[in-house]
Amino acid sequence: MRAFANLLDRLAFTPQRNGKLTLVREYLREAPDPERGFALAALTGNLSFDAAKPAMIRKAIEARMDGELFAPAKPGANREPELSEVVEALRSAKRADVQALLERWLDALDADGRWALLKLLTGGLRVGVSARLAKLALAEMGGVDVSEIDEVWHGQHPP
Amino acid sequence: MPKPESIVCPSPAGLYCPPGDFYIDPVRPVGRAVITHGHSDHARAGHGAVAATAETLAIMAARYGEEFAGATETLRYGQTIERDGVEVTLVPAGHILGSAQAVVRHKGMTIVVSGDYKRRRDPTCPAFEPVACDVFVTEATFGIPVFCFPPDTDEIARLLKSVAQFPERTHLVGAYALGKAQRIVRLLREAGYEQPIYMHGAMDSMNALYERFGIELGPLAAATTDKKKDFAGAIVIAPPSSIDDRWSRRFADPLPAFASGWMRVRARARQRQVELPLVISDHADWNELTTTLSEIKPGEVWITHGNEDALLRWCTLNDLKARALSLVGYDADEGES
Repeated sequence: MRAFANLLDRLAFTPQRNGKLTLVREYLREAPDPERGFALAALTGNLSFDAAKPAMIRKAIEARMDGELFAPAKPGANREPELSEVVEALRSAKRADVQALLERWLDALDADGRWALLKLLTGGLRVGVSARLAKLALAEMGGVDVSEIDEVWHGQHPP
Repeated sequence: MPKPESIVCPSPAGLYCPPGDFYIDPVRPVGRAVITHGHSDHARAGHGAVAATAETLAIMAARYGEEFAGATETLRYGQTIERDGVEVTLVPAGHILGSAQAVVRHKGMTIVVSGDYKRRRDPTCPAFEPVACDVFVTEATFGIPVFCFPPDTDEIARLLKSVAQFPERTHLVGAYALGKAQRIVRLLREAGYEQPIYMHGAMDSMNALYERFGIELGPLAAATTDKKKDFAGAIVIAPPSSIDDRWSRRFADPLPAFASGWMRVRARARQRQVELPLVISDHADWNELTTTLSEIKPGEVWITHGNEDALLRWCTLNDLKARALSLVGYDADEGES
């Protein structure tokens, strides 16, 4: 999650299109599979989780609010999840399991990671990156023309 | 045992010690003052006599001129002086070069006025030393649980990564001239960055002073030069106010960064049009504040200024007697505090 959260953080604060292009391209170059596949799917709006509903976020937080709001965060209580773990767990999770998963992840992640997780879950990252820009970055990373990406795009699915 | 308020009490000029007749970090000119550190909201000119560390006195002299006080007394860390039966000892606070907590002892009671402090390592000053006490006086600039700062090495790594990713741009880092700027430089050097770091002219006197006290800053160069140079790929450190000022227009496509605890709040970064917020603070975050209180377990906690509500609540939950002093005149904005 950390690299993906950093990417979202940088994208949200970078106004220039070229800057965003560089950030996405470099992320796609550095991140391993299947992380970057999921990230690309998230950036292009091709990732959704049927079992996860925004209301569960509120419940997960409410479950921790009383008293614990004032308890120091306990970093390292859980291991920080990777993006692919989050995606895979959410895909196979039943509705009843999502809240517990969320609680565990929110405990383990730092502020930027939590922010990225909530964005991922509620759909719509809103970091000013269009599907077009993400594809362009992918094309630059792979050294191919963006039209070649367009041609095969619809036959592809997230990892 | 005397009441603590008879030894240290809030007054319009700042915290006052009636039996010793001196103030700690007074906000207006007084006869006798003990100064915890050199930031301008704590160290002001015009006092009759000032006791502080050699570093703090040097900072005050550099900023206000040699005549900043009628008389000065240099205190080493750990050294105790006596004023009319009141003992005062300065102990490292880990905030900036020369920063200290003022430990006041009288008739068997110990009151620690911590000034500004942090608990994480800082390559430019000795670490905070906890002192057992009856009353611990703390600030609470970042006294709400959302303020949980990342390791500064992570933030410096993000800066260096951005410099590598955007070699055509000038990374313009906003940092306060005293303390933050030199800490950023030292952290960059520790991360292996050996290039010259370019400095706004307002940083020069404090940089020289840090070097004089043995903090090696490595190659520094002036960012203010007549020669045509676009500084692409360079790191420039400047006071935060210069970042969105005309001054910054000389640089190649500047990428504005800002090193402050407030960068934890996204809206703050956005308001200042910061593209690379670096969450690096010289103040204690929520966890450092609460860890410190748990560790010292003082009989009472007094909170001078900042976000005291949550910390008061935390003290109640943890059976610590606490009160807010709501002192005015100290910069809750980390402007330079």
